[in-house]
Amino acid sequence: MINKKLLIALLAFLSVGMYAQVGFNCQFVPGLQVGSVKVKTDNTRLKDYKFGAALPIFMIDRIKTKWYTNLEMNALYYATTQVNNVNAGKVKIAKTEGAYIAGRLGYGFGKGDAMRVGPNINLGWGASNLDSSKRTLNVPSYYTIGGGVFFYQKIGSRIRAMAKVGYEKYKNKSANDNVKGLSGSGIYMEGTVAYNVYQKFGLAVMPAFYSKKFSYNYGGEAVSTNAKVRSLFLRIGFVKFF
Amino acid sequence: MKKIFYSAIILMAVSFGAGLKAQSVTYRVQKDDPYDVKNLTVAVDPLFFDLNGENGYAFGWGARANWLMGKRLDINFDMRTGFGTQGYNKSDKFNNTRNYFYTEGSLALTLSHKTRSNNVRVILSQSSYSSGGYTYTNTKSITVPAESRHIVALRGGMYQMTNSINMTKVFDDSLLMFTNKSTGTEFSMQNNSDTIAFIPNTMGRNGNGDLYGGYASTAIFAGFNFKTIRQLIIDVDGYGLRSNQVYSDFYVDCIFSPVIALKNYKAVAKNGKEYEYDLKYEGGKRAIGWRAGWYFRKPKDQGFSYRWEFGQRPGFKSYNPEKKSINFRNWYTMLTFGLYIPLKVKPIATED
Repeated sequence: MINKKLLIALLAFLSVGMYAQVGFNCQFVPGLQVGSVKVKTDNTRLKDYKFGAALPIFMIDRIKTKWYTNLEMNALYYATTQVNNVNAGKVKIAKTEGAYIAGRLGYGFGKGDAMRVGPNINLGWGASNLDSSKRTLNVPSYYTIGGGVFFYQKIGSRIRAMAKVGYEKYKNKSANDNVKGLSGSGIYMEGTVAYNVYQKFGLAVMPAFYSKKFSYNYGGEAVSTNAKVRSLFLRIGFVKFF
Repeated sequence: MKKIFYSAIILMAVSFGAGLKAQSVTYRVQKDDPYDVKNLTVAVDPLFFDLNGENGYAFGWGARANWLMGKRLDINFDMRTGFGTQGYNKSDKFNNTRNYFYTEGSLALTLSHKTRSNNVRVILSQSSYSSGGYTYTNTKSITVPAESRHIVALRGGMYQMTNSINMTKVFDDSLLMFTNKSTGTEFSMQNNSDTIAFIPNTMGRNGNGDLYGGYASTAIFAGFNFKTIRQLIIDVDGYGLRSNQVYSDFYVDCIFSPVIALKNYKAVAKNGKEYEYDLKYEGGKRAIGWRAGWYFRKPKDQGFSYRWEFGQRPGFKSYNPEKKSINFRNWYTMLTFGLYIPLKVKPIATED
């Protein structure tokens, strides 16, 4: 079942624009990623499972002058690209992991154009396959709130790099038909290395690690299920230098 | 109704009030050059939506390229393919449906190329607030004279597309004929004298029980392209850098499609044998169509592009033609969103 709200949300946020000294704009629109996601549960019906990372992603990660902004729709974009496959029953497991829509806003301190460091706040709506779902747009979803710190460094004339760490809380009373009363927390670590190839343009590589812990009621069971989701990704996208 | 009326009066009063308080601003032109553009753009469209009467909807990704060669030629390439096509049954062993796919190439020859000075609006600031269920936006703007290039071009090209088609809804009469390619038997979908097992679509959102098939169309098109290029950047005291930058294409095309074909249909008949059927709609085809669209990007900066297109594709005539002169099943509207990379490639136009 295609979730109308998700498609409308995707359409609405397609209108997010971009304007252009310090910093770069990593545009994974679309971008590619490789990696894996491990889900460990203490539920005997679900057990443990592992799947490869979803290949297409949709994310903008940028720092300009003082401000750091991030818009992520990786889970939604992957889920949307699989509609034909889901309808045909060709998806063995939904690789939906990340955000349907999430944003970060941060302010960087630092003089000159070489370095910035600062805090950021995070807000969003994410998804993780906590019930071994095969329907990419119907995996458990949850609201996220959190914060982190980021560090930006210019290295020579061709390389710019960034590191981000943070902590987030997750919650949703009704995550999907199977998963209720979801709560949890997690950490993330992301690094970005951008290399200038031509004029102001280049390639960005982002290794990322996410560790999330969840507690929820699965399928109306009396005992709650605890799950750990660990993801390791390597993302590649297009970058514009400011 | 009263609410709307009072809101309009309040808005007018606020506008007059703002007008009375209007203050002069000082600005310096940093750039006013519609010729300093990058004339080749290569874009990836991560998402498009095509809403149409033939199968409902399709969405997917695409790629585009546009090269404005000097002042005379404009070359376009466009491709889209669906990753969510209503009615497309990827698991159908008979492969009776088709995924959305579109590819187009076109060339435009400049008829008129003029540079004019117009007063254009530059927004200084915008703020919104909500009250009584309504959202009000307060915009401060000034008008500034700017140079704009206006290009009128005659364009023509060719496209090829495939899509799934809802045969139950589009051909809701007895004129959709099936011809058994082995036995030569001919029958309409409604009387089904071969008693073949039609495969209703039962998947996901498509689980409406309708019968879907596939079609292909090859068409040529010709029309006009109206291009506007403007690049004004000003430094406004108290506001900083503000701009009005446009690289837009508005186009209108007439489409002629000599080839509109339904995909052959495979099914199992009551006798247990598998047959392939040639499909033909006796109600006829409508080979002429039209479309109009807008495409926006920035003249020089890398960024995101947007397009909106609508029209009537060549297709099949409406059923019950004495009551319907236009087949709304051929109408469509489409939105695309893309990430483009602008490049400067010779030859490029310079100001005379």
